[in-house]
Amino acid sequence: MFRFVAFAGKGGVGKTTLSAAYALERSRRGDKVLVVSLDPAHNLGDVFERKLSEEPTPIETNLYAIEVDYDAMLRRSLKKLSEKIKDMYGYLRVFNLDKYIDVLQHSPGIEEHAVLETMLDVIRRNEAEWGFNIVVFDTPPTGLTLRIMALPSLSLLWVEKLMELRLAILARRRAVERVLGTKPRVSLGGREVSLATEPRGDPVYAELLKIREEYSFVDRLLKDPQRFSVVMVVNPEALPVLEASRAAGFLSKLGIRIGAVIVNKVLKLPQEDASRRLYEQKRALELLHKFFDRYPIVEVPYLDEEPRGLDRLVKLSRFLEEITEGCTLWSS
Amino acid sequence: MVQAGLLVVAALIIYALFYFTHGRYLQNKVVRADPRRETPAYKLYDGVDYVPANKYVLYGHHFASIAGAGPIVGPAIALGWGWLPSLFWVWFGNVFVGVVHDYLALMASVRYDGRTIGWIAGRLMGRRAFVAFNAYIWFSLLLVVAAFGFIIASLFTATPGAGVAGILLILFAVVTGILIYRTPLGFKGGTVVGWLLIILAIAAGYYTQAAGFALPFDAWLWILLVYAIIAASIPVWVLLQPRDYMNAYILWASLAIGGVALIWLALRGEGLLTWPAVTGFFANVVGGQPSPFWPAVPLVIACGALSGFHSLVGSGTSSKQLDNELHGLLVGYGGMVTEGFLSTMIIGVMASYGTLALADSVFKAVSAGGSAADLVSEIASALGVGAVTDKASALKFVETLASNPAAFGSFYAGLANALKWSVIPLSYAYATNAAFGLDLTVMTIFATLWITAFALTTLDTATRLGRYAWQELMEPLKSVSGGLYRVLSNKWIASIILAVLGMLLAATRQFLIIWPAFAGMNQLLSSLALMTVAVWVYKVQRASALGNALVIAPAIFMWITVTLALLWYESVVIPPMIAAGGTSALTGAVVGVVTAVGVALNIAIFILWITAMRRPAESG
Amino acid sequence: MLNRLWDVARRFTGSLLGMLKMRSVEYLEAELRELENVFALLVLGSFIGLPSPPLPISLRLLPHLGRELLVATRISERLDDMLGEMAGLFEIS
Repeated sequence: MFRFVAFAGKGGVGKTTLSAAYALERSRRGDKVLVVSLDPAHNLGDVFERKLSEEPTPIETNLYAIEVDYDAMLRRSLKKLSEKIKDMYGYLRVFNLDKYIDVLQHSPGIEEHAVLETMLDVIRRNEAEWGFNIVVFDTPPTGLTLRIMALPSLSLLWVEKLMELRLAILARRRAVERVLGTKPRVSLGGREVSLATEPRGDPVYAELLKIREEYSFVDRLLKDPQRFSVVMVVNPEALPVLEASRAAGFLSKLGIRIGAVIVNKVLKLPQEDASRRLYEQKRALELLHKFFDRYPIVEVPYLDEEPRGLDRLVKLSRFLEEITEGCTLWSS
Repeated sequence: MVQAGLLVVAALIIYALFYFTHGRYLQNKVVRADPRRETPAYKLYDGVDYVPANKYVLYGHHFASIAGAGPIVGPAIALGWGWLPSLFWVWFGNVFVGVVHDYLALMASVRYDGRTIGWIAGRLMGRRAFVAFNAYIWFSLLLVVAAFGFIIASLFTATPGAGVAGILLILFAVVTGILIYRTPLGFKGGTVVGWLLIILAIAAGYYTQAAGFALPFDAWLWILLVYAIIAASIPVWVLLQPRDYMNAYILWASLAIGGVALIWLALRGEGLLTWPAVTGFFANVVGGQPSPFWPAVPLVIACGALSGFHSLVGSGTSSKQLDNELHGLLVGYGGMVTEGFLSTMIIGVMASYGTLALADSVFKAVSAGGSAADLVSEIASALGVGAVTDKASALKFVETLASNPAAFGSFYAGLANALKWSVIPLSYAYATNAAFGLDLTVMTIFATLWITAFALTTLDTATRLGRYAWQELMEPLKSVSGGLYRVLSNKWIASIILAVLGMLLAATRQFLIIWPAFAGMNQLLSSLALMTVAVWVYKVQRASALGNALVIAPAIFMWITVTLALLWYESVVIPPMIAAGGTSALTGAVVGVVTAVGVALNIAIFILWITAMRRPAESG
Repeated sequence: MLNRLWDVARRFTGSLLGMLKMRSVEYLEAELRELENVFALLVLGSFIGLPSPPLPISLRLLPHLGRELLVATRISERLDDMLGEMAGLFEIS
């Protein structure tokens, strides 16, 4: 069974490093692991000290990595969408498409759609070609990641509603057809077009069905605690902890499993040093334990050196033993 | 003595004469209808709203849309002035004002891409005219619920069997709808079943009435209240659509049966008019006060002669489906005179067989006792005729009343009202019974169903429209109190407020106050529409002198008539109501305020109109 | 002569039938148009600032919504006078 985990958190908390460390440790314990960085500000290649691409690059025997070119990903996604418009819109006056595409990239929803698409692409290719036991996703900053996670549920909600409305429309068209004896027609751009009256003959309904199926697949996957899990990464500061707890609540409501909470960059200073920073940290940690008492909490100390390179990553992964011991991130 | 059937024939002749002379003149010299000019149905053809329809189909549809309970109830009340003045207004008011209004509103809309008359008013006279139009519509909705709620409840109280049939028809309409729209039975099969169900409903009504079933007036009002709120909240294809469809059959059938009955009777030398031709210039028609025939008649007879709602229908749907400009004459002009024909038939039926009908109701009322019986004894003593004790004395009572024009003018409206207007369907029943031997009770139920079928549909549509209009009206509240706005503009609150207010007014039983207020609002609407088409004709069409006169004269005439009538209403009819206290005061206040606002708007609009007429000519 | 009469009778019933059919679907068609309008608004609302489905869903459905777009456009042209339009359709008489 292929398992997936997403490391989520604010920018700069250490997602990339921790996902790399986790992946390295698990790969040395026997799993075939792939790390995929979706963070626009990623530095996975630096962490592994390897040049990475959009295809799996071997780091070690059982460890591979992908670094997604964020801008290229967006452009690809947009291009696919705009091709669809260009293909079908001959008979309606629409926009000057080229100019429109550039605007589209800032449209709400494009980014999360693109990232979700990429994740799905990885998942599908994993199943079809690569066969990695565990795929670790280093995700974009929290806000975007939450929207990505919510996208399948939200889409399904919309699709259900639209299907309901569509059936109401088709039922009435059938009634009109029944009385007048001919299918309702409409004049589009000079052409007379017959309108669909049955779900089976309706391209809109067919498309809605397809969309529902696609999103259902993702939705089921995300909500399967045996296959998908999220690791929340925070730093020991009060406000970020609060934010993370809200994010965790949101994910739980969506039905997505949270496998663990990692608080990274914990200052380990002598107790006598009653500096303000320590006090803040203590408060943050208390909050953390309060909000996340249900989940395994892992504390990772502030390391002297920047964890670059495999050796330093191994040192970092010592602190992750609780979650690297077995496949505890997922339920069994 | 004149036979009622002759009236019908006379109507046909007069209308036909005017159609081919007056109508043609309007078409050729005023509208300048051009068969080669593309109507919106072609210019804006989209297979959605703008679809050309066959001339006769559109005519039939337009007529069925403008027909309702109005052209029946109005003339029935107006008989207080005698059948001659009533006919006079139904014939010449219709021809000189009514058809001009209907036909030109339709054609103006055709020239403005199918926009509504209110929108055109905005274009030609400024935004305030447009706002006034919408205000009139909203006020009308409240009053129509009150007026029609009352008439339905009255008729059902008088003929309980019809009430049963009416309620059953609601259910049956839903069933018919399902059969037509959602089963393979389809249009033909479903329609046949629909008709069978109508017959079944009438039969059920007949037998339950024979078994003694009856409900009090207020109970019917409650039922109607619930009906209005629920009906207006369900998808249109469940109840409203099938109802509206089946109503068309009932309309044409009743019209045909009634018209043919009268003509057949006339050929046999029967159906003589026994009611007074003229009772006096002042008759106690409006609110029990001596009402001058002019200017008060438009407050009583609206739909048979002139109705603002017709301009909405003409410019709302008919104009978008006109195939050819020359068809407008049949649709707009023809539709309106057909409505006049309907009113003529009603007047004929009532003025000839009303005596028998009234006698029936009087006898029933006296047997039951109560306020109606008291009124009868009052009138009996005033007439110097013996007390009513049996059918014979009841008949004598009515005959005496009918042969005394002054007394008839004084007492008719109040009496008919107290008798729950059963005189209307009963007259029709007696007429058809005399002509074809059709069973009296069955025909009474049928005639009641005819009137109430349309009225019930109107309750539904008025509540729906009222929901929307109410929300628009509450707009200014948004800036004052968001919370209050949200509560008040909630669709359930809006429905309930309108329906409850309307039914409350109906419950006061002050029908002879409410109906004129409703008709008055209708006439305000038509006055505004007439002024709009007058501007169109004078400024845009630049018609000939006679052409202009044919439009401007009615517009001015109606404006003066309606304004004077409403001012009279406010000063003569309303104060006594308020002075009487209790529910009368409540009704008087509500209706008085609404009407006052209408009149104020009307006067303001006149100034707009004059300004628009004097502006340098434009091409619209 | 008889042929002429027969012809007139046929055309009369034809018109009558046409009128009745028109009447039987008038409100149904109006409701259908409004539903299609709502559908268009829901799917494409994002283009005019309304909350709408995720963009990809909208874009995938868009190519098939010719009629709905047409209806929505037509209705939007008349939005400034909805009370009048509705009062004309839902007749009060």
